[in-house]
Amino acid sequence: MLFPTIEFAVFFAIVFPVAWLLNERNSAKKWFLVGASYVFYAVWSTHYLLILFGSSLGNFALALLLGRLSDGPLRRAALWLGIVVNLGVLGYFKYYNFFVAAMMDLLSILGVRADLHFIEVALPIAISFLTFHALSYLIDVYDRRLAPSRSLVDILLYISFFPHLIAGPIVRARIFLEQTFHASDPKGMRIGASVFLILGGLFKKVIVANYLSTDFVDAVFRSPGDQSSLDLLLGMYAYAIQIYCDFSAYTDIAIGVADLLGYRFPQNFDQPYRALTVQDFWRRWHITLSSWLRDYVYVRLGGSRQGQLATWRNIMITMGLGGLWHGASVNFIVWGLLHGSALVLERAAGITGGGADCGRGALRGVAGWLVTFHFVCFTWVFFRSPTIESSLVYVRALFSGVSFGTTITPLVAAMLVCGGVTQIVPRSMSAGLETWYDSSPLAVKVAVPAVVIFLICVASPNGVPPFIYFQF
Amino acid sequence: MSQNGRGSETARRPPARPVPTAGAVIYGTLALLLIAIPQSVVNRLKDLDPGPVQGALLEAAESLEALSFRIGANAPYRRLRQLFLDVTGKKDD
Repeated sequence: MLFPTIEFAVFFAIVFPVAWLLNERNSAKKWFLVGASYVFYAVWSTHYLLILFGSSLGNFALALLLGRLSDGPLRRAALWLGIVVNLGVLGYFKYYNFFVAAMMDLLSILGVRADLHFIEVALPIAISFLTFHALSYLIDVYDRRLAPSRSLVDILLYISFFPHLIAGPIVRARIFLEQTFHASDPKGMRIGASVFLILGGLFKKVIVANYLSTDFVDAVFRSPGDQSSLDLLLGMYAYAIQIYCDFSAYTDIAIGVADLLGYRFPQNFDQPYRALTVQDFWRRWHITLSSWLRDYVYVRLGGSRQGQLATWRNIMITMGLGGLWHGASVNFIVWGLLHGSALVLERAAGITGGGADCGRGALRGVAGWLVTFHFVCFTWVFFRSPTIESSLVYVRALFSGVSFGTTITPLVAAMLVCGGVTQIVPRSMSAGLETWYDSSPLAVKVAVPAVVIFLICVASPNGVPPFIYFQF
Repeated sequence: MSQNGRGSETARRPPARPVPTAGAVIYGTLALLLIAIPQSVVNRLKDLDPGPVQGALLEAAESLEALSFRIGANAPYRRLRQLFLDVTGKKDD
């Protein structure tokens, strides 16, 4: 079930009142939301409901065991069992064929002919996000930063809660579970913020991301060798805007929907294309993934505590794994390693911060922004291209000669401008809008979303493709 | 958009009854859209597998569409959509 559909509107129109009617009976509300989340997931796949349930049940039981065991090898073994099983399920569905193909290539280079078997299995939707939620819970319990939950429904809800189930944001266990202990306080609901997050998300996905994709980006990346260098350059920018509008739209709507049901999710994007360094970019892009990788991979590898070379190694491993998390493809690994290399270079050059040190002096700020923005756009070429060969064709064509012909339409140009505007709207402006909305009469409160959605429908393309991050 | 509404926490004045207010926003919005663009629901229902529930819902949606047409409630959508298609050179399926 996609967010911008009639089905989801009907689904939410049923879930919202029932959830709040059950609010004073917190356990019943949570069971109801678990049921609703399973229905939400079952629309895509009933087969994989078992994985969702099995993962929740297994991690619930293992966390209870971790809570009982005293520190020592047995407890450590129990944690590793959880990590291996969770990553094993993810690996089987997502990476098995990739590694088999890589192994066969390696063996053939060594002159060994191996006939390894591939598996024919569909990737269960949401499995990457589900795994990261589960691991966050287990590791926090192991570190004793979080007591194991004795409530099965809390864990079922944490892992399956429909707003974040498919494409995040990745909500830490301790942040979510502390909200499940008591009935939600309706006064904590931020109606204005939620309404504008949902409306902004619908606009970014249905209008900006869709038109950029169908009217320009898809064609440029389909045959990069046939494009002018101007179109290749604009294609890079357009994809940067498209993926931001697509992915941030999903998490904006997720945050807004969860808030309307009484649960607070963390921020996932903070105008990432304003970043002045690559490090700054990762503090603004997919914040819940980058902080997850920082806390559960980078810091555990030793972080920056073991000297410069070890720090660089840890950055490269973390970013390589971050790339691989996006999919079983060399392209994603290259994308991650390019970002890792940039982070290492910034450290080596002593550029560590985002705002303060780079912001000193307008010229230095502009230069930092230009370099960072173009580096990020360049790396999206590897992220978007279907194969490493087509990425290289794109890059070669981009830098071989200059040609100014373009297939860009006025609509695409307008979408690029709209996407750019999302990066420069001051926070004070959206905060002011939310405050105005919250204090306006009920008729205005109803009219605003009705008119905005009406206008989105007027300008919408036929059919809405799924969100890009569904495949991860 | 401000993602989490950062910075607006202190200035925000929540409605006295947030749940009924949010409910009114959700149902009011859906009702207005249903009367202004009823054909979206009709078209979606036509795409579903035929059955007694689908048939009943489709009948209700078509009645609503007829009412909307009679009172001219869907005229703004049709005009604006046509204008959008003319300006952009796009076509409806």
